Amino acid sequence: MKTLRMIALAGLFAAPLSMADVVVIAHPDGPDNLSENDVRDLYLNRSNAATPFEIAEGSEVRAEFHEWITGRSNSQLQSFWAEQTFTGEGQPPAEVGDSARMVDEVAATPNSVGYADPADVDDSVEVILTP
Amino acid sequence: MKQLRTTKTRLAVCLLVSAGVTGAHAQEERLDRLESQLERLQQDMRDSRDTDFRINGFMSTGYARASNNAGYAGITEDSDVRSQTLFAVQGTFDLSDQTKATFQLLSRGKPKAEGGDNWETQLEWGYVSHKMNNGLRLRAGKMRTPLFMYSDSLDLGYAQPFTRAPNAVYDQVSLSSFTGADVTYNFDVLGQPIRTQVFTGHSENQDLVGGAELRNIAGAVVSWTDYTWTVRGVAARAETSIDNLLEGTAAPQLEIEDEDGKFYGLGLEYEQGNILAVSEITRRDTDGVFPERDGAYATLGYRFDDVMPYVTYAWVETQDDDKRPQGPLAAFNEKREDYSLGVRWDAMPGIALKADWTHSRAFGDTSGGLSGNATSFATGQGNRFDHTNVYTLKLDAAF
Repeated sequence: MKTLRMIALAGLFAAPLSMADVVVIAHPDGPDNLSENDVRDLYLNRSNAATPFEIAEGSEVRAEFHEWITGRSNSQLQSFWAEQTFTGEGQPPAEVGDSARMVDEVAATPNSVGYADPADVDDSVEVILTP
Repeated sequence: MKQLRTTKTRLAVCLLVSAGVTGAHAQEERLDRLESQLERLQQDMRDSRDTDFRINGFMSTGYARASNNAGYAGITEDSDVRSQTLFAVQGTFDLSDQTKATFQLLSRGKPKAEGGDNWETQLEWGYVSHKMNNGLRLRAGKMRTPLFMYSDSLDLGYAQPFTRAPNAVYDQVSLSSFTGADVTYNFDVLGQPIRTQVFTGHSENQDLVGGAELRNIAGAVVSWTDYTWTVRGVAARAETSIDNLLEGTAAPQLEIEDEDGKFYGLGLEYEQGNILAVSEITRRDTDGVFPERDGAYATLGYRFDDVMPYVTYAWVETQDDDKRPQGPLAAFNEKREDYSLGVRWDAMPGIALKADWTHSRAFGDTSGGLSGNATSFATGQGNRFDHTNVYTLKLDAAF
């Protein structure tokens, strides 16, 4: 894991534009004070404390978020949500098109959380976690 | 969709109107109005997403063939596609924020050996669930009997790492669903998430060979996970009846009625980074002549992005063979080892392709629990096969 981070870090310096960064955002009225584990619980259907949003598959921001928070790859998440859906446990988070739309969606939805490229974040949402 | 179209039309009208405006003050007023209108529209769009009815589906299809007619998982030298194929549709109605009704219709292909265009559609799940504010979830109706780690996704190949859930364990109890009620409760003990489920009900399937019934099922599941490790324990009991244990043989009918049946299972899963390890050990213990049977497996997989090769070792052995020393009942004595080598490829979102080679051997003095041997065993001719190789290709999809 450490080596991976080092490589990621090296990549960041070599090509600062190719690597997306990611922060966890929330509606300005909350929730706040969420730990990484709390966010993970929201995204893996263990908690209904807030409404999570997901960026559509294929986004680098999404991949980085999941590497950081849930440790699950896209195919693992697909299997997981298929199981949750068909056992009636719950539905996957609603998806938005990209990082900028994520900010709009979270800003407009009370008690929601999301994640975005810091470059897209403005003061319509609150940054609640950074890696 | 209708909602979206209305939204677009309204938006277009708004824009046209705004284009015709002159005068700074009027324009500002209009802008304010437009903004609040837009906000309302966005809200409408979000609301339209929260529908009261959802439909999902999944399917599997594949090809299986064995090196001989031993009949592991019902697969013989005659290659078969139909028995590997199923299609399911699941619908969920939201009756309220906390109450849902769920059904699943599943259509399954019957093995080629049964002939004809044999497809059977049945209600696999049909229940009402209610989540209470204190975290209890109650369900009533027809549900999956939660005996195994993958019980809930027994037919949902897409949610399973392997091509076929290991028979040594998943064959222990062939009645996979029950009609009754269950209660699930999640709570934390010392900061550790524990999930408990208790269930009770009745299960019957006259289509199974011999016809089987479980009465007064009562069971409990406890599981814990930290997202890397999952540990799951289950214990259940039921009064077990089988109409004719020796159906399909020349021997006279043999009925077992309301024998006390118990089931115990322990499961362990490790999933971290590229590594997946799953293991389950189960015991089925019924009074009388019906065999007491232990089964276990361990699967190890390694993910290379979307491709995951895996190996499985599985073992099954009946523990009370002395109750059935000879005659037709001796066919129930079972000892077998299965070695599987397979791969899962997540070809695209919602679709996985799988391939598997399973080699079965080490039957000892038993039939190995394989249908091709059971018939010759029942007539005192002993084993026809001392091993089998089963090749499977499979496509699993969820949508």
